Order: sequence, then structure tokens, then C-alpha cells
Amino acid sequence: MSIIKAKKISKSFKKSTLDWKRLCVERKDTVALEDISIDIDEGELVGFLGPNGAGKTTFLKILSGILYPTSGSVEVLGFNPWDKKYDYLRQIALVMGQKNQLWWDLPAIDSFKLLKEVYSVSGRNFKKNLEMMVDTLGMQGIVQRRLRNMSLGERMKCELTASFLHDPKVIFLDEPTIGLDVFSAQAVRNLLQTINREKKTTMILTSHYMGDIEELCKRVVMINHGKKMYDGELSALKKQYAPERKVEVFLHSVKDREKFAKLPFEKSLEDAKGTIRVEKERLAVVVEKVFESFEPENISISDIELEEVITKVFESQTH
Amino acid sequence: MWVLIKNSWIRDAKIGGYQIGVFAYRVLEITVTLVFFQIIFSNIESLAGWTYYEILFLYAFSKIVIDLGSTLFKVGVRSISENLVRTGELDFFLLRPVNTMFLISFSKPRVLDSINCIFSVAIGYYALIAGNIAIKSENIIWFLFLALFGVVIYYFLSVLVITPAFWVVKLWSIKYVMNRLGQLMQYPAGILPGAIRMIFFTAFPILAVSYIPVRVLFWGPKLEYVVYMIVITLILGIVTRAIWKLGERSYASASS
Repeated sequence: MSIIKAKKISKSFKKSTLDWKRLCVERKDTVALEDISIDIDEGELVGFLGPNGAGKTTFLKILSGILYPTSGSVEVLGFNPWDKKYDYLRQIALVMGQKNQLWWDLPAIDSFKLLKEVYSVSGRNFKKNLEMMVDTLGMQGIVQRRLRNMSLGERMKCELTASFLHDPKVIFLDEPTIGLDVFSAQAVRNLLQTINREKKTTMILTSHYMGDIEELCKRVVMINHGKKMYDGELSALKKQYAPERKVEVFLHSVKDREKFAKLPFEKSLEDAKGTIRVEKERLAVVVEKVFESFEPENISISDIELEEVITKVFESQTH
Repeated sequence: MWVLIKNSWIRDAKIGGYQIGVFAYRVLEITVTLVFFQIIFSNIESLAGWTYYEILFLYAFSKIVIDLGSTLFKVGVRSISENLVRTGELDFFLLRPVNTMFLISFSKPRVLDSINCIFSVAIGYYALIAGNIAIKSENIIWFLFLALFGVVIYYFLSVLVITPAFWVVKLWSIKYVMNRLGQLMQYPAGILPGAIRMIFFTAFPILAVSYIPVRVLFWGPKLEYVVYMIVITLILGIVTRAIWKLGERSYASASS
């Protein structure tokens, strides 16, 4: 059952400037979103992809009720987000990787306690959720520290904790792993997976890190210039735009490079790495030949990276 | 509330010099105002029917209202024009299941500013004693009742003045408007020409904040004053809330 229904959402930002030469006000409209429709079921974890300025964050802000759309309708959990009903706001959360919602000068625990009151979280649930977050994110000893004394990764973990204390049914995540080291980013991904699986929390995630999307999202929505370009399974996207596999060979000697140059396949050579792109049907033939010619420890076979798939999609839609 | 006060204490404690500056400024301001009043009253017996000591009390009471505002909501309300709208930090406030206007307003209390009330209370007390102003106990109750409405009116006006920041994002100077208009509270309404007086009793009822409660304290309650204070507070509350909601609709947030 869809718990997020967006129909033909458009949003344009109006800007007025005074033209002193002509003594008139000039109005300029910037289109951020154009006719975006989407349905999301309960418990889905959907990834939003798109370049900077594509409209991803604007869409999340419209769904959460922060921004009003220029046209279109949205229903989340049966509510119109812009009515800002308290019953609605108690069931959602927004995490923004580049903005803090917690107090800078206070220990994180004090901000959590304030949010407990704001969201009317019972003492038992507050304790349970806080302990779960602290355990999952490895935050022992962190929550007692002031925010300004924390690293970026620690702050982000606290931001996530703050957003999950009230058990939201829908959570909007805008680049939650931005700027995090690999360990922190992995901890955040694990947490999102756990909460999505155990609590059936519906999540919409935007991220520039394809690792986040690949690990967490079965379904992706691609947006560019405010328009929806793709909505479907990530695996189908890869199949459609990058059906081939990549066979990479690490070439340590001149002899190896010469051998690689003689292979009867379409290939490229960069530094000490040779790459062969091959359709899945022909993969067996290519692999057999490559393993005949080179040491197995120097060979790797992989899918095309998601970044490349995305680039292909955008290029195909542009041309 | 405790968390808010704790936050205020931690923040203010870091800038002890600020509070000393505020005290010094307040002493200077009071001194200049007293000298100014002395000069005026060395030439006249009364101003719009008010004696020197009555006006001194009015001045002190208006300062108490302003100090209460500084303690409770001034920093929070100002943050709307200073940074919340411009930087998009308003986003998080809009997502809370509580009244956004109140949450922002009272999110940054400045506990130490309440100490400034001591000066104002002392001047008010001095004015009553030195001026031999006899006050009925009944009037004190009415005064306190209407003073409460006065503080609420002052709060709504402070919010109302800042709301253009929703539409004109870089409107930092708007926070000073209330400082200037607040000065009108320290004089009797009768010194203003009729049309201007009407504006400041109806369209922007800053005069109602201190003039009506103090008048009732000195000369007793009138039904029309009580009705006026209740009605104007309600209307102002509704108008402020409506404009705030319009502002929220126009809010464009900021890029991530």
C-alpha cells in the first residue's frame, strides 16, 4: 500500500529584483521541479539520484511539508504535509547531512531530552531507542559531549539518533553520509538497513555516494533539471544501461602489455591496467582467453560502476 | 524549559564581557533619560497631564517589559531575520510538532538579561515613593492583569515586525525597528498628535503595552480599557499568526 503519493508536483522559485535603470521590478522564475509523480509503499527504501541542483532536496522538503509546491498534490501517511498537522509531524523525520538540528553548545543528550519533550516520547521508548542507536552506531561516551567538541562523523551519528528517537514511520535522508569516513559511513548504512528491516520504516535517501545507493536501495528514482528520468529497480537500470561486464587485468610487465594488446577483443589500457568490456553472453569466451594468458591473481571481473551507469542515463536523456 | 535555560547559561557565560557592556549601557541610558526628563520638567509642570514621577514610573515599567522581552524571546525572534530564513535553519523548526512561532521565539532565552530589570524596578519604586503616588490595592491587581496583556502585545508586535524577513531574506536591520518603536512606550500617549496616537493604539498598538496598565494603576480601571486590552490582544494574536503562516508559505529554504 502506498503511503507516499505525489502527483504532478511542480515547484518554481520566484525572485524579484529591482532594475534601477528601467525603474521596474523584474521577476525571475527558476523551475526546481516539473510534474514529478511518485508512489512509495510502506517499508520501501528508495534512492533519489541526480546531479547537484537536480531538485532532490526540494522534493524531500516538499514531502516533509517545509516547502509548498507551485502545483500538484502530495499525501504522506494520509496527510497533506503542508497542513503541518502535529499527528503528521510526529511520524516523520528529516536528516540533512549538511545541516545541524542539535544545539552546538550543549551535550547531545540535552538536545535529545528536549526532542523527547517536543515529540512527547515516553521515558521507556526514549531509553530503548537511545540505547539501540548508541549500540548500533558505537556512540558510547559520545552523547555526553558537547556538539562543538565532536568530529563530523560523531555529529552525524547524533543527528541520526535525534531523528529516530520518536520512531518515525517515514524518514527523509538528504545525503546522510556526506563527509564521513568509510567506517562511519558504513555504520550509518548498517543502521538504516536495520531500522528499515526491523521497524518497516519507509525511507527516501539522496546521496552522491553510489555505495549508499547500491547497498541500501532496490528502487531508485533519477531526477535531472527537476524532471523524473527513471523510476524503477536499480538492477533493471543497470541491465538497461550497462548490460556488459568489466574484465580488468593488472599488467605488471612489458610482456604482459604486449600480450594484452594482441587480445582479439575491444579493450583499453590505462597505466598498468587493461580493461575489456564485454556483453554477458560473450563473457565466458573472454574470461577463458584472459585466464589462459595471465596470472589469475591479476584478473578481476565486475559490474560497471553505478557512477558510469548514471552518467550513461543522463547522457542518453540529454541527447 | 530547563534545557533552554541551560543552553542560555552556557552561551552567555562564555561572553561575560557582553553582560558587563549591557549593564554599562543600561546605566548610561538611564542617566541620559533622567537628565532629559529633568530638563523637560524644569520648564513645565506636567506633560500631557502626567507629572515627572508618573512619567518616570511609566518609563521604568516600559523598560521592565522590554527586559522581560529580552530575557524570554528577543534573541529567538531576531534569529528569524538574522539567520533562520537566510540559511535555511528554519527547516528543522518547521518539522517539530509544536507551534513553530513559539518554539523559535522562546528557544533562545537570555537569562542574564533579567538582571537588568533590577534597574527598572528600582526606578519605578523610587518614582512611587519620591512622587508620593498613592495607589489603591484594587488598582494594583488591575495593573498586573493588564500588564500581562501588555507583555503579550509586546511579544506579538516583536514577531510581527520581523515577519517581512520571510519575503525579503537579507533584512537584518529590521531587528532594530522594535527598539525604535519601543521608545514610544515610555511616554504618555497624550503627547502624540491624534492621528498618530490612533495608529499606535490600533494598527500597531505599541502604546497599549505600558500606557494603559500604568494609567489604570494611577487612576483606576475603566471597563473600556479592559475590553480594549483583551480585544486588541486577541486581534493582534490572530493577525500575527496569519501573517506568520503566510510567511511560512513563502519560505524558500536554502540550498543544501
